[in-house]
Amino acid sequence: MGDRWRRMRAIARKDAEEVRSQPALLLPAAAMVLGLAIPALVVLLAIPRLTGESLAEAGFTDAGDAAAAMGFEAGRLTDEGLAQAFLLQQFLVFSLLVPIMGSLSLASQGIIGEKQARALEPLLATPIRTGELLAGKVMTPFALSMALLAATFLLYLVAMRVWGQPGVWLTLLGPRTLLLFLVLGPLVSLMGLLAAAIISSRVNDARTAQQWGGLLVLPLTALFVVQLTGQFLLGMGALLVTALVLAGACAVLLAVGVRVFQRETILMRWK
Amino acid sequence: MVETRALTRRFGDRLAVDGLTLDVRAGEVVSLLGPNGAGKTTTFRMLASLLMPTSGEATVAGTRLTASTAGAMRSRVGLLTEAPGLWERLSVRRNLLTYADLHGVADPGARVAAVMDAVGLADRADDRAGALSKGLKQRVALARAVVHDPQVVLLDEPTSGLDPAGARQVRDLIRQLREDGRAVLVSTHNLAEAEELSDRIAVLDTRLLAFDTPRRLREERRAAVVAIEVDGDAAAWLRLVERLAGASASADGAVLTLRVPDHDTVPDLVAALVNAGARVRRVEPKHATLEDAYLALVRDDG
Repeated sequence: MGDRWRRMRAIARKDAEEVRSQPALLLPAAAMVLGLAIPALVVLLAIPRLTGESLAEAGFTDAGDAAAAMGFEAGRLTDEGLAQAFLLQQFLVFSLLVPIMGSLSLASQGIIGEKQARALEPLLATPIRTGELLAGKVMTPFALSMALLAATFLLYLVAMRVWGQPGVWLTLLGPRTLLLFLVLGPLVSLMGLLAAAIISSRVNDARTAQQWGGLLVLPLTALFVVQLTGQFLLGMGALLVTALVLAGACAVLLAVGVRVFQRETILMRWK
Repeated sequence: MVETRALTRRFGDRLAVDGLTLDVRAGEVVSLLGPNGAGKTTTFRMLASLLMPTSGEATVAGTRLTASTAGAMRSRVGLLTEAPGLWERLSVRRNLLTYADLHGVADPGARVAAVMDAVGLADRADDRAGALSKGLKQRVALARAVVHDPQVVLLDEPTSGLDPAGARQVRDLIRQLREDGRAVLVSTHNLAEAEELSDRIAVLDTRLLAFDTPRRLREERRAAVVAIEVDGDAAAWLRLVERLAGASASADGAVLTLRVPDHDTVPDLVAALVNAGARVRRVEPKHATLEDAYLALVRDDG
């Protein structure tokens, strides 16, 4: 285990230094953090202040009911607070785009970078096992995409603590949010990483890989849109089912990824 | 140190390496010569446990290559790939430290400092690999190939694309590897380099065509090359001698150069030329070069 860990850590550390040497690699995912959080905070906090019409007055009383149905204690929050808590939860689902895009961007760049540098053959001539190489290659993008997701969470937490209705920020520490950030976030990140590894084995350009990987965003976007229409409420039960589906998808992608990461496959077919 | 027996690798219907049997001893440099597609890189990849043979055996540093021993074998073999394959945004030191970690080197910092010193890169340790010249990158790649102190070193076209000074530095490093007692297998298209560096040379064209010292490879071909000087333009007699000699010939001014299958045919050839009206001024067995020997081997095989 010691040698294995050392080899995986060597790859992860090398990748981290490569990202450090070109911080622009992180820009798309970092921009996405702001690109998702700012519109959400504008809707939740800025527009009611600018228009002088609260969310509750703007017809979000149903939202308040839904928030109560999601487990937020109506007695502790004002009507406006319940409406904010409900809408906040809808936007949080969209935050899962951050780890997906971060993983896709960094992992495809990392793997295709090795192909372009023709660094895979000397790498494979070391005692590293192909599973260790796959694990090592996903460690840095995974850690960075989790850091970006944590940044998103902190951004919402601070904004709601400072400008939100009293107590709304505490709903971010509830089980639904934690399930989103601690379970679904890592799962979608892993899915993005494995997808990037598989796609990167077939294409020679990081952008192409990212474009193909971008298809992963579609189901999440659909979920978000359906939620906003009010036809479907993504409660705890639905999130748990989603987590199980994602875990299954990750297992399938892992099996494919391990096959793709065989030495002879990499040497003979990764052109 | 390296021993192969009937080593064979097939890719689908294509035979890349056919029944290769050779050996490389400790403290010996063996060059692998052959045209493009002859199976040199495939042979290297098998000896570096990157590809499994379809049949046959390979024993490297005392371990027979199997799927289960491949990992252990890789720690005893250093491979210089055709392209340096460096991480260009990282420093020379970080490139080498990563490989030292991958090989489980006990004191990576000290070992990396030692190999950088050995290849003359100590003062460039913190430079980005991408900022180095091609020759320096090749030295980094060479340092990477030996960072784990392997007993066997495989060098795939180590001087390809280097300027004469860079190529010379790399050749000096290869000699140093031999002096350190490593078994070194070098693939090259540079015949002069192979002759200068190698203790033995293997000529490969999917199968092994010859395996001997450079001197013996040359000598075996010596009697078969003859220069005949005639009066006038030698090209006028080219067709005649090709028909009579049953081999290739070339004309350069007044000199015909023939590759004949057997030295005994030369008097008959000269007589035929004289009978046909040529004035023969000089007949000289030519000192065959390694290039003559190599080309003859590859042509005969083709």
